[in-house]
Amino acid sequence: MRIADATSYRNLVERLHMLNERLEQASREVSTGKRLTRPQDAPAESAEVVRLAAELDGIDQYRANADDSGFFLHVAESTLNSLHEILTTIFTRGSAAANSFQDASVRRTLAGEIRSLRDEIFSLANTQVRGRYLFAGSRVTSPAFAIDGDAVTYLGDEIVNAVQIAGGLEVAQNIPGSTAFGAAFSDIEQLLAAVESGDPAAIRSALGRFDATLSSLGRVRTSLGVELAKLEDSAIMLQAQETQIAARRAHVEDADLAAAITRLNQTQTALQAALGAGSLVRRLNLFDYLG
Amino acid sequence: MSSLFASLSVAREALRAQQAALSVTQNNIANVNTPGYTRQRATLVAGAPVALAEYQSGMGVRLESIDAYRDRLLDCRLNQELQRKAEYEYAAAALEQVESILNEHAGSGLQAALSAFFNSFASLANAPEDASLRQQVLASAGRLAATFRSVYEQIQSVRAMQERTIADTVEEINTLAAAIARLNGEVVAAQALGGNVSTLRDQRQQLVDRLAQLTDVTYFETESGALTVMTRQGALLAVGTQSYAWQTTSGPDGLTRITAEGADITARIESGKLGGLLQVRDRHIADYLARLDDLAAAIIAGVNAQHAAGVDMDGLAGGAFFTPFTPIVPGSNLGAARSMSVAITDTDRIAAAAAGAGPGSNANAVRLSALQNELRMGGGTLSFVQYYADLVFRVGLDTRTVGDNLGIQEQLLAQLQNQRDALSGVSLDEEAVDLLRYQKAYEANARFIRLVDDLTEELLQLLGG
Repeated sequence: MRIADATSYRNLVERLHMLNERLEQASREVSTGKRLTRPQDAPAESAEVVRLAAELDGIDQYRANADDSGFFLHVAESTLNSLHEILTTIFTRGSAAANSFQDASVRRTLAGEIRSLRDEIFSLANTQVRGRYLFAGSRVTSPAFAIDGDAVTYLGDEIVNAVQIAGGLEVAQNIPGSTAFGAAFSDIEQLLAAVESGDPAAIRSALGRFDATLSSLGRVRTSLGVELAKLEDSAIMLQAQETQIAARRAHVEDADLAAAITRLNQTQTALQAALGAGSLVRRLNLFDYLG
Repeated sequence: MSSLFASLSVAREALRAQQAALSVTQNNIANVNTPGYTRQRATLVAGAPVALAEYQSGMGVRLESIDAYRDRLLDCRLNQELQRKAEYEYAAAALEQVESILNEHAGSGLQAALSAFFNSFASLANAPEDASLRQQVLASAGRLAATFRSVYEQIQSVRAMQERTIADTVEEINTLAAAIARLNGEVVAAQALGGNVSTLRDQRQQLVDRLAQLTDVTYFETESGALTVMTRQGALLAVGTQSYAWQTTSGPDGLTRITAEGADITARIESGKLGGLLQVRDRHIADYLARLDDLAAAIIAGVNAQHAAGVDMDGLAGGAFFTPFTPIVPGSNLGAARSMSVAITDTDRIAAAAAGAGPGSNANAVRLSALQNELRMGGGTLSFVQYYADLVFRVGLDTRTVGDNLGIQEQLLAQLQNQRDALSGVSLDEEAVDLLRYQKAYEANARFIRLVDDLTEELLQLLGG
């Protein structure tokens, strides 16, 4: 083939252009550490990176939900532990009153003790964390319980907030006060009336109701334990998912540095060779040999 | 042998012929770097022999013509490929600008803003009455709306920039068409006088090649030597000495329309820079903007509907969360992304609670957050973020396809140019040899003249004795 001068120059320029482009791509990979720096580098993978990023954001959110739920559930757990202790103490005071029902002054003292223990429970029932009444159902902005004499009434509702803490895993974040405290207040109210009346049969009957209340409280605490266990499950699930997604993302997006650096060096060498060949082309010309 | 004087005239003609050949070679060397120059050659023919008494003698050499090494088919092919190359080149440049706006690898932010917005409802679900969490919801909603507006406006500004380029390109096309018509006149006139029109043709071909980089063109040469140039779909540019200027007008959507002879030819321009720009504007960018609008409209409608199902801090039914979008053009969401804004300013108005529940209920916040996982786009196949990922995919794929096409086109063009060079390009080595050849021939003929001179002198001396 006849080679015109313009051909050699154009081919040289094109080869240099191509090598420079390759050099640029390789150095972009090395400097950013990413294989994908623009959607056109790999369109499908770029779209996948967008979806993976959203999934990672979702996992962060689940984790935040689990943290918040854990905070509320732990406060509820310790509140119910205290409730259990106080109810047991009240039961022993009631039993004491049943045994010494003839002594009015002892009964009065015991009734006073029971009342002050009741007040402790009342304040537990109106526990406020981060500005919310924890046991008011959804009516969290006002107290869950009100007291009038010995009668305590529940002002909240039965709403339980469920929160997602992992894909397909929900946690019940609160226990309505009616479920946790409801029976306790009426039991105490009856016991107080019985103690003050001095009727041993009434006292025993009132004490008899405590069994059911304590075992119902036990069930509430168990279910609370189940919810708390879900948090642990979610932490493990989220950790596994995050590792998997992050690995996938790195696989899709991150550069193979060793390969990129090798390619950078190779391209550099090729570029030098092309430049060398170019200067050779420039030197070879018949005019130089004609006197 | 013929007479000495006849020999002199043979030698004189030979000198003239070699000189002409030398000047052609010189012209080739001078144009070694002239783009589009077609190498020329002097065609020398032997003079017709003259019959003498018993034998024939040649009458030397004469310059018959100066021809160009031109392959019209190759020129035409090159011209067509130039159109494609320019189309891909400008489409690729425009698409890369859009791509950089939607480049999630650099954190363009729409995905992050989408996730942050829906996740802010999930955070709110943890303590729906919490004023700071409510504030957070409004802040991320504001950020989402701002990101939509900004991405939309950035893509639009790429389009606005192209609009200016389109108008400039039409100007340039008109100038070139006029120049071709002018050269047509010169070629026709020179050809009628029997002159060498190779250089004029080269110049005209150069202009047609430049025109081909701006729009798709097809052309043919008439018998008189004039070139008729038009687009592939028949919009005239130059016929004889007449050129046809295209006009630009503003369409109903504010975008530039191109008219020729009063007819709108915008959709009929297939290739070249103009074709590439129009393609990106009318097909790609229009598609991307429509998708952004569809996404924004679906989010506005979905969030507003769910928001209305809940109640706010005061137990009142939720109002519009985002400013409701009313279509400007029926059946289209045009303008949804550009005008997206949050309607609520008072955090108490966020309807996180289920209807009938107190302010601590999170049921509606949970449902609002869950909207992000519902398949509400693409005919019930994609979630919001998946739909956006699909847009990123499309932009990436379009940019890549055009880029790949450009690469292939460049190679093809280089091959064709090499082919053209192989025929029409100047090789300095070759010209050096020719130079030597014609120089030596000139020298030999000059020497012959001296020989005749010597012989004549001798003869005269004999006579003068």
